[in-house]
Amino acid sequence: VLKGTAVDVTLSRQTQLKVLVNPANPARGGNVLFHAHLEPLEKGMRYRFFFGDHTNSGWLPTSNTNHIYQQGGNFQVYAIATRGLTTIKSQEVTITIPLFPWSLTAALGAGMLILAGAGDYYHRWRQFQRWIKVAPEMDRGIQRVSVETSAAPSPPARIRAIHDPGRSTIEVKEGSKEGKVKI
Amino acid sequence: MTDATLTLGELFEVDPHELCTRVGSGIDVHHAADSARQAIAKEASSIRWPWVRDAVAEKSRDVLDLNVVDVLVAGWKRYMDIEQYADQNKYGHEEILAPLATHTLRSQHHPYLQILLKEREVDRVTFDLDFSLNLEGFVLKIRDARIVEILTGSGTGEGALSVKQVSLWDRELKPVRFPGHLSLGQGILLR
Repeated sequence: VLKGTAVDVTLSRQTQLKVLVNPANPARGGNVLFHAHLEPLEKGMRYRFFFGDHTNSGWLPTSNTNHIYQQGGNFQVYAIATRGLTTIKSQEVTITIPLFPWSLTAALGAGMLILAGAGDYYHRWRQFQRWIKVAPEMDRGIQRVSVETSAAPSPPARIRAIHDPGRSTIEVKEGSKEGKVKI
Repeated sequence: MTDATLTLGELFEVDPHELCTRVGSGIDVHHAADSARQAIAKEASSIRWPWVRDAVAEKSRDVLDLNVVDVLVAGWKRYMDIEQYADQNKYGHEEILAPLATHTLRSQHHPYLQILLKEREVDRVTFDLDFSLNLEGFVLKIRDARIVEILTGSGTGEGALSVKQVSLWDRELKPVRFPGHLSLGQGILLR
């Protein structure tokens, strides 16, 4: 191009599609969320996810979907987005589903340990209750009495029951005659 | 033994929780039950020592369940010349009110807690209990050579309880409150 020649410059921005996975370390039987991130965003796109386990999501009007892996292993996941004649394929993302559910095993193991610990504690406590006794024994002790005063205590009082015959009157009501009899 | 009960703990208003706490800590600090600890470690290692120590501490409150009425009556029968009222030729079946002179009764005890492992004693924790009561205005109701009732007066008292070198309870001379009267049911024989 010679100096001074006019040129047409066209800027084209390449469209990119990325697959994002949540959670990052999914577990077998757990729900996995996939998002097809299109940059720049274009309206009217349809999306399809290939999960790597011989299943796919089918065409979706949204860029999100869920999937549950029933088996462990490595899975190559990709998505495609399309509108009219334009189809964009994402790069493949590898998802690793653990073959063995270690977290579940760990939780179960911890639970078993706690149960075993509680069982052992209970067993020891039962033995303690059966075998150990603490028995208090009192003694009669030794008593000393000292009298403070030289004066002798006042003499004992005797209480004698006296049967007093008392004084009684009987009122007699007989017709119009009334009288009192003293006994 | 009398029917009437007035425990030392009640009379001196001892806080049992404080007593248990002091026993629990004192047992280990002053090695008051080392034999039991060793025997249990040897013969029943599955049993945790703190459980035993706490059981001993808990039972220590029973030491203050000593019936003061029994102690008083034992002291009076021995020292206060009240046996004379047992003479039924002289007193017949009459009810006698015998006033007691103002006096001080001092009583020393050595109660203990047996620690049993599979019904075998492996140790005992022995306490030293010492208390005194200054009593005034007490009257005994006597019938048929038996003390049937105590009409209580006023009094002051002091006391101390310890195990090894641990002072568990220590009370200076202070007034003590007796109930107005203590009925002894069938009564206690004077002789």
